Amino acid sequence: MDNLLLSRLQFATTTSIHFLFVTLTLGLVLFVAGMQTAYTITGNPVYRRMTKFWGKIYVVNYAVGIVTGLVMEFQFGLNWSGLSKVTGNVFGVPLALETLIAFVAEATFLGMWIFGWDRIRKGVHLALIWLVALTAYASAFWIMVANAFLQHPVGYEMRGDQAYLTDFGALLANSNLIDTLLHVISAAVLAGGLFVAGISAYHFIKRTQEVEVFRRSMRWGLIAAPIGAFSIIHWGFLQEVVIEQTQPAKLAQMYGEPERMVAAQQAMEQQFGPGDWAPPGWIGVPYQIMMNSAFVMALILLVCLILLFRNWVVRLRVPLYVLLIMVPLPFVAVISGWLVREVGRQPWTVYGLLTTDKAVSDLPAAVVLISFVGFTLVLGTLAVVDYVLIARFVRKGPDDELFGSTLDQVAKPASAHSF
Amino acid sequence: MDLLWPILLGLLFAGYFVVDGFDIGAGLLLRRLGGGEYERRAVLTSIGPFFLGNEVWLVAVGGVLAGAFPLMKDHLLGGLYLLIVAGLLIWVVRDAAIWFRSRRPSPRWRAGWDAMLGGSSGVFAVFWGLLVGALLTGPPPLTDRWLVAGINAAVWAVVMVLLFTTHGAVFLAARLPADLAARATATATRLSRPAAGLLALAALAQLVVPGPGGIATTVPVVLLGLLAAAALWSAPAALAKSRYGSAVALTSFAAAVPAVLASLRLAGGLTDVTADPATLSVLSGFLVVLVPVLAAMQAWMWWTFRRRVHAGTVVFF
Repeated sequence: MDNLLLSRLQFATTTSIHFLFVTLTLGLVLFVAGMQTAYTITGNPVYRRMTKFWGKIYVVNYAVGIVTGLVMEFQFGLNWSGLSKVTGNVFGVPLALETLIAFVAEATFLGMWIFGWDRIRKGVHLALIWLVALTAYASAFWIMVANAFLQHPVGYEMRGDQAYLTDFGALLANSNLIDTLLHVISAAVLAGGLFVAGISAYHFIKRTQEVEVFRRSMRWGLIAAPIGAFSIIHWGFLQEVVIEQTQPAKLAQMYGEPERMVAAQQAMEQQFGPGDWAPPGWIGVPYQIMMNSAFVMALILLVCLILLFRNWVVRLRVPLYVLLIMVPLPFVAVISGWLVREVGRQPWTVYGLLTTDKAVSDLPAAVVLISFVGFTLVLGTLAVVDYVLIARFVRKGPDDELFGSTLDQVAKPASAHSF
Repeated sequence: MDLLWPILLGLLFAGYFVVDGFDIGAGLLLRRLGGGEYERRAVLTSIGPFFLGNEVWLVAVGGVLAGAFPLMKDHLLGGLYLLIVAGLLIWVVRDAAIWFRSRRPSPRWRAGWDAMLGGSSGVFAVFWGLLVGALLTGPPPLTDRWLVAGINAAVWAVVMVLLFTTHGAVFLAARLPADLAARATATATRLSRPAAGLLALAALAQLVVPGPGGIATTVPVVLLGLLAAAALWSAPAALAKSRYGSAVALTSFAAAVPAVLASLRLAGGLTDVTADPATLSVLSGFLVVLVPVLAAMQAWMWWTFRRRVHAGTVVFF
């Protein structure tokens, strides 16, 4: 195996793990913030239990999201030095702004929210979770600005072999940005909504005593999830128009249309000289998985939404099992969609500007093999441990532990210690 | 304008050493100071509310490197590839240990993650020492001077472990419930002299370790290093008088200095690796707003959780 392949595998593995967790983070935070808002306004203790239950799962999920995020930030410099050498003046801007505007603020506010339960004034504590949500979405925005530049570089001019930033506004107005961002946000809403609905369904299957908590949660999830599912389809198809204009070869492989690919190859040979400019043909598979799973989810969720009427969704019981089984589906879809977008950009790292084999750092393959194995083992293990923890918290259901517990409630001083 | 970005980078790096230094030190001392579950939760709660807000200082360092010094980022990360990868992995394991340890009641689960936290905090301190020691001899790659860089790195690795542990002990003396703080004070008092002595020796050693900038950087490096050693030496005296704020300030200065020294040595070479003025001017526009906002946020966090931990303090980690 060579350095290029290993570096790509390393990036793909770490990013996939990161993406799995942040998708749920982005989705769940809206529910936690919404439920806490309902509690603050109405004072109804059910909303407080809902906030604490989903908030607990949210923060446990957040753990792997943030630690993989730390790694992601340094990946570009480690393995993709060509990217900085050629486009550092442009690509570095959204990355820097993401860390300073979003990452730093989000983590600080989350720490304050976690330790502020029952200690910080109610209104301020509510503001903190909304600030966490706001900065999380700001983070998604700036990362997508950086990604849109890789897909369709704009706002720069080449002097020598380096790109220089000439128009910052063009980065934000990139045709590959807004539809994709809304697509990703829809995916997060779908993943979060289906997760909340599916886990609530699990508790109804188990004949939960917490009927009020899960009845309302189910309703929240089943209203949000179809909105996410239909928006994901809408913004997904809108992107195909842009892809046809800016990356015709990607669209040809997504559709699996050889004639289209031949035309795209000829056009690119004229522009960039001879070479194999076709992205891998297999991206058609994840494309189909993503698209079909989105249709399935949209239809089933719509039916479940209608079944909310007179609580048929619980009384019929079958929809409960269907909802629970569907919980992993949005995650399969986001990884598929991400593969389509990023593998479909090949052989380019920055489309039309820098090929992937020129972007990769000049490192011995053995060294990258060590780091690839290291990252995969450590992050993979943490992801598994985290999912096991989430499953335990899900099964345990709502309780009043974790948030707002005090030191003397969780442990006794050594003198009074019996074990 | 020429100086703004290098200074910002140096300040963020130094700030990171100060604030995450608390957490690394506390992690190292968790099992030593925390006999039972109550003591351990008290140690974790001392750093808890600040933990996320502390480590993001390093995220900010990464952001400034990516935006303003994209090529420096490559030299640093790519030139010391395996060391940086190891540092990232240790960072991840340290964080996972803090997040995961209290999520299950099982004593074995908790003891396992506590061992992981202690070990990874120690290795993380070693990593920072290795990095500082290597960078004091100049920016990577180290091909022609790997031996001298390696020896310097090994010396600073020991220094940073002692320095962060003392720093953490002083922080815990100021934060732990009054009845538990005495042990932290004793630990800080016992460690500060050897830590200060070794820091002074490592600083003096820079007189013979060749580094970029020559005598113009060597003199401030050695002087600052000795000043940091003096601050570290005098921290126990402040603790003895129950002047916790002063003690934390003294070790904070000492913890910041190694980052400042490395930054001083690298500053001269930064001009070649700085982003284009057009890029910097866009970033500066944001910075005018961001720096005060982020500073206010940090101040708010420290002010909100400024009180000493007690039985009624909210726990999480």
